[in-house]
Amino acid sequence: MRYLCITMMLIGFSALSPRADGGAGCPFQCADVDGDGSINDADFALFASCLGEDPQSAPQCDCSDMDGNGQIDLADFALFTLLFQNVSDESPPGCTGALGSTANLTAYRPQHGNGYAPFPRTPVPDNLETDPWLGPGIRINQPGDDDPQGEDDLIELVLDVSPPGAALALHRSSNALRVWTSRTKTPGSEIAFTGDKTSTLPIGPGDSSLTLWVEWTTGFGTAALTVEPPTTSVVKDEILFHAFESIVVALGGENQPTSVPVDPNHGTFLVGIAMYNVGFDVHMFDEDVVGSDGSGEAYNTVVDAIANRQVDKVAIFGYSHGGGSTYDMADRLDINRAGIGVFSILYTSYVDAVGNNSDVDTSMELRRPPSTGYHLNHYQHGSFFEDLSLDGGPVPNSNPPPTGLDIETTPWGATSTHFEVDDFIEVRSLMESTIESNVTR
Amino acid sequence: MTITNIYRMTRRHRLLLVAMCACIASIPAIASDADKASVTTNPETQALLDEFANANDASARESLWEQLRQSDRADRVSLIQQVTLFASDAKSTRAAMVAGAVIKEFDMTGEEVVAALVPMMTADDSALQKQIKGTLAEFEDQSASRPPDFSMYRAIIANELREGRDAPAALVEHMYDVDPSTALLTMMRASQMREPTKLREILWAEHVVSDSIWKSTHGFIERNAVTSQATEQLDQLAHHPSWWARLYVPAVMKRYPALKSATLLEDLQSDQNESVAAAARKLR
Repeated sequence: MRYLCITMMLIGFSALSPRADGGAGCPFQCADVDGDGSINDADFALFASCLGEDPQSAPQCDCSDMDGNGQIDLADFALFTLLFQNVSDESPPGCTGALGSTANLTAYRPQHGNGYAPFPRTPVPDNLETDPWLGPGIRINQPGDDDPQGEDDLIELVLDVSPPGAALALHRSSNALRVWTSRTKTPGSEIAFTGDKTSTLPIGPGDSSLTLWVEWTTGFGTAALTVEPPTTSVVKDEILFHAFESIVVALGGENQPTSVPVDPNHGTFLVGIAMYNVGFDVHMFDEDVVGSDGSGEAYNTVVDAIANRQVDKVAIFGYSHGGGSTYDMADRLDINRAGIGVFSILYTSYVDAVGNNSDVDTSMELRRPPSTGYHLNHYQHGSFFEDLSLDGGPVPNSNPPPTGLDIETTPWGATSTHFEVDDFIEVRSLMESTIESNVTR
Repeated sequence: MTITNIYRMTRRHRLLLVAMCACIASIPAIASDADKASVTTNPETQALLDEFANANDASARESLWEQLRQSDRADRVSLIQQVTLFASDAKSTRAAMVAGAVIKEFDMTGEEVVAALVPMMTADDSALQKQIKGTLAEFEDQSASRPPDFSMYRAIIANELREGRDAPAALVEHMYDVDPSTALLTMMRASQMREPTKLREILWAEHVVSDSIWKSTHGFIERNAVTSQATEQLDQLAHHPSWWARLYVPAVMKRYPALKSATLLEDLQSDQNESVAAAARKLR
């Protein structure tokens, strides 16, 4: 009925003279007269007030002359009704009434080497994709960064569109972000930004999906990528990236290799995955990659992050021999600081840590990791025939104060053995919450 | 048993089968130097270790442990070898740690463990080799601030050389893999080198290369830079008459890739000593 009334009103305004540049100054999508990103009652009220006005003499009505014929008339009204409560990828004066496309961006958690293992390929949930902490994290990718197994600092981003072949573009909030169509930055595969917006993305006519790879080139902070029509700034979806300042290393116990899917009895890796899923840059290793002098792949990964990716915060945690390796790695990092760069070991954690001088080391690891800012310690004590006397123990200046938690003093851990201590939800939860409160992403 | 069934068997079961066949055919398990790598599984001990690792309660483990103690009294070397074989195929943390428990609880010394494991170092089994290296590390006592102690190895190698035999190549290769510098100096002493100028040649080369590594590790030169003096010394060692001096070159290049020289590695690939040539080939 409302529209009928308006239609009747329009008849009285049909004699206005045409204007050559009608609607040319409107930067919004068709029918989004107030430019708030949606086409709703407020737009209708504004449009109605402009009906019959000369857009040349009433600049506030510029967006109502959708077909650019210099009149705000029935033709514009017809376009408005088509687009009401929908979206348009066009803007005045080029409105045809075609409904706009829909688009969804999905970012994935970071890669490792030439794929995602030891993590599954993990999409960031829609409800977290614009969260500055829980959303997608991204490594700063700088020249000189070691990528021995292939470039893995780029974040996979999948754009799904409807209808297939929709014309869409990307907008970035910072030029730290670059976008590629190839995972390895193959020459010629970069999508160019003019200012901070791309031209129409290379979505094939029948394609409903496009995989892109996002690179963060320098500096810390957050930056957004939005998908929008090439000619307007109507945001169809947005992803907010945060550049990693920290690196988190998780070390399993003896004979606990990483796997996809994770072994549910490998508590250290469950914690690693939990932190990965909330936006940390987590790297998980079999403790065997850490030599008794702290050297090896895990150490090299941390040094590379500090020396080449501007990371300056480190967290390391491990269970059993992984606890011993946590000490060994922290020790080596601390000894070699002068050649690595400025960094802090913000967080370490032992779960029933056993010294890792060797694969047959059964001694308790009771030393606090050198230079760590915060150390969490869980341990138990068993007999030889219960658990081969594999025990952690009190570590000076640990949390909970003063030397950590003997879980056998708790109701839930009273009868625990070395082989299950890492699996308690209470242990894992405390690790997760203390990483969260001590380590900046 | 069909061929298919054999493939479905676990590695331990296959080893047991091979061991049983060997018994039937009266093939000696350890015969000569050439056969040293063929230390085979003892089915009874393996079964005992397996039962111990998987027993459900402490009293069952206690009884099984007593049986292991009897094995230890009967043949200590064999028990070390058997627990190492067992741990190399472990499927759980508990099973993997049985070797450590045996070594600790039966007070096995470094000398005993090294003597038992060195003959197994040429076995063509990567999991076993990893376990042997992981066990030997216990007695090398290396840390971030402390180089490994190879004195036990030096004694073994020196003895072999004094007796006119070759140094056990696998053991020498292991040392170079763990710490090339300490390995070079250990070999220098074990090789009975007596001429001071020749000793100083080795000492100086190791010192100069280590100095370059130290400078790069601590930021006095770029992280991936090498001093020209170190490059010169590596060149000299690559042409040294002693194979163990030449072996240092690919070994240290493996550990510190910044030291890599394509020219030297190409030369060393055709070295007359197989340890040197193989190490160089792996780096190419």
